[in-house]
Amino acid sequence: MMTGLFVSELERTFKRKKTAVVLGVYIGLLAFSWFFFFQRGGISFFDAAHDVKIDSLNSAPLLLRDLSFVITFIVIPMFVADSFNGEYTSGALRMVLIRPHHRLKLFFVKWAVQCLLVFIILCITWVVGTCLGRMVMPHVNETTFLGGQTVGTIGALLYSLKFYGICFCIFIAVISIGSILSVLMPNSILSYVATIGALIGSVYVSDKLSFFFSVTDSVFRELSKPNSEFLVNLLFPILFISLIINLFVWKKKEWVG
Amino acid sequence: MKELLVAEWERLWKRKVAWLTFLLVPVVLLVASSYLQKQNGALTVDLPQYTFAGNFPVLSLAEMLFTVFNAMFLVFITLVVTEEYRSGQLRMVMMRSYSFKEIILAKAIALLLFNLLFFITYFCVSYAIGFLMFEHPQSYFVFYHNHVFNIKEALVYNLAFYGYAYLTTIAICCVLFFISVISKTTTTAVGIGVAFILISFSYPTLLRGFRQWMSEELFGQLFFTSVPMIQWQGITVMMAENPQFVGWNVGVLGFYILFFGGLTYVAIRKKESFL
Repeated sequence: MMTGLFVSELERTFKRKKTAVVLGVYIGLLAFSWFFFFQRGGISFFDAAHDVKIDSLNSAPLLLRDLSFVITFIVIPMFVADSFNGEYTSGALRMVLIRPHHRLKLFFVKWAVQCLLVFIILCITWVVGTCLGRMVMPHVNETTFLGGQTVGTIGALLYSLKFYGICFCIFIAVISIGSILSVLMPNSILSYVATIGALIGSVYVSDKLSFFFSVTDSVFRELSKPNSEFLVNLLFPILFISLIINLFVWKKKEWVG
Repeated sequence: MKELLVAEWERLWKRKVAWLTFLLVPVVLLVASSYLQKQNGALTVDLPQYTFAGNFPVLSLAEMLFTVFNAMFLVFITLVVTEEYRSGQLRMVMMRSYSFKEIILAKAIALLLFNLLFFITYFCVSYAIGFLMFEHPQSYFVFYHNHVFNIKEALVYNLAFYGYAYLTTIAICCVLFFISVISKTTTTAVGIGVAFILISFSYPTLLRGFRQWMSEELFGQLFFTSVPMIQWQGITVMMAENPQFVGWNVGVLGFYILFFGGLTYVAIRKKESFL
C-alpha cells in the first residue's frame, strides 16, 4: 500500500533528470566550498559579525552555513514545485490519481519523499564536513562556538548533530510552506517564486521569522543561548499549522481539470 | 512583425499575473515606506539615507530593485518564453510564416515595453506615496553630493536614476532570456535564474575578504562586474558629484546585453530543440 506509493513517488522524482543533476551540482558545490575554506585562510563566520577559525571539530556546521542558501532558495523550492505542482500541471500524476488511493496518503508520500531528499543532502553535508574536518583541518581537542561555549570532541559532535537537526526542522517547515503555495498556484513558475517570496517576505513580517531567510545564522544564535525555546514556541507551531493547511488545501483541490 | 508584437502584447496582458503585478506596486511601496520610516527613526535629518518625499522614489527603488524587480522579470520571462513554448500555447503562432527569430524578438520587445511601463508606474506611485507618508522639505542631501538638492533638481536626479536602473534591468533580462530559451522545463529555468541572481549577489561579498590584496580601483571594477551590485550601489556611485566607474559599469552592462543576446541568437539558430 504505502510502500508501493512511496516507491512510485521516488521513481517519478528520479525520472526527472533534474533531481540527479541538482544532487550532482550540490556535491560539486560541497567540493568547491571546501576549496574556498582554504582560500579564505581557514576562516569562516558564525554570522556577519563573528568570524571563527575552522578546526577539526567545528567544520561541519560551518560547511552547512555556506550551502544553506543553495538549499533554501534553489533545491527545496525547485523540488517542491516540481513534485506538488509540476507533476499535476504536466499530467504526470494522472496515472496515480486514477487509482483509488486516499488523497491524504498521496500527500504524505510526496511530503515524505521531499523530506527524504533534504535528509540525504544534509547527511552528505554532515559526513563530508565531519570527515574532511578530521582529516585536513588543524587538529584540536576542544573548540568554541558562538556565545563562548567551549566543548570537547563528544560535545562538538553533539553540537553539530543538534545544529543539523534544527536546520532539518526548518527545512521541513520550508517544504511544508512551499507545498501549500505549490498546490494553490496555477503553474510551477509561480509556485517557485511564491515560495521564495514567502521566505524573503517573512523577514518583513517579523524579525523572529528571519530564520527562514538566514537559516544557519539564527540556528547559531539560538544554540548560543543557554535555554532557547525557539523550537517549541515558534518552529513547531509553524510546522504543524502549515501541515494542517496543507491537508486541507490538498483535499479540497479540484483534481478534475 | 507588427501584428506579432501586438499578439505578444495581448497574450501578456491576458494573464492575471500581469494585472496582479501592477496592483502589487502600491503594496510593495507601502512595505518599503514602513521599513524606511522605521529606518528614519535611527537616522539624523542631515544624512542622505534619511527618507523624504523627494528621495523616496530612489530609496524605495534601491530597496526593491534586486528583489521584487528581478523576481518579476524572472516570472514573466519564464512564463512568456519557456512556459508558452513547452505547454504548446505558442503552436498557433508558430503555424504562421514567422521565423523563430521574429517570435523571440517580438517577445523581447513586448517584455521590455512591459518593463518600461512597470518602471513608469512605480515612479508615479512612489511619488504619490512619498508625499503621503514622508515630510517634504524644500531641500535635502543626496548620496555623494556636497550641496543640497531642491525639489526640481531632485526630480531630474530621480529620473536619471530610474533611467540607469532601467538599463540594468535590460542586462538582467538578457541573461534570463537566454536561460529560459535553453531550459527544458519551467522550474529549471527559474532555478537557474535564481542561481544566477544569488551567485552574482554573493561573489562580490566574498570578494571583500580579498580586499587587502588588491588596489581600490581593481576591487571596484571586480565588484561591479555583477549586475545586482550595480543595481545596489553602482548607480549611486555613477551619479555622484565626481562620477566613478561610469564607463566601466556601462561597459559591463553592454557586455551582458551583447554577450547573452548573442548566445540567445546562437541557441535559436543552432538547435531547434532549444526552443
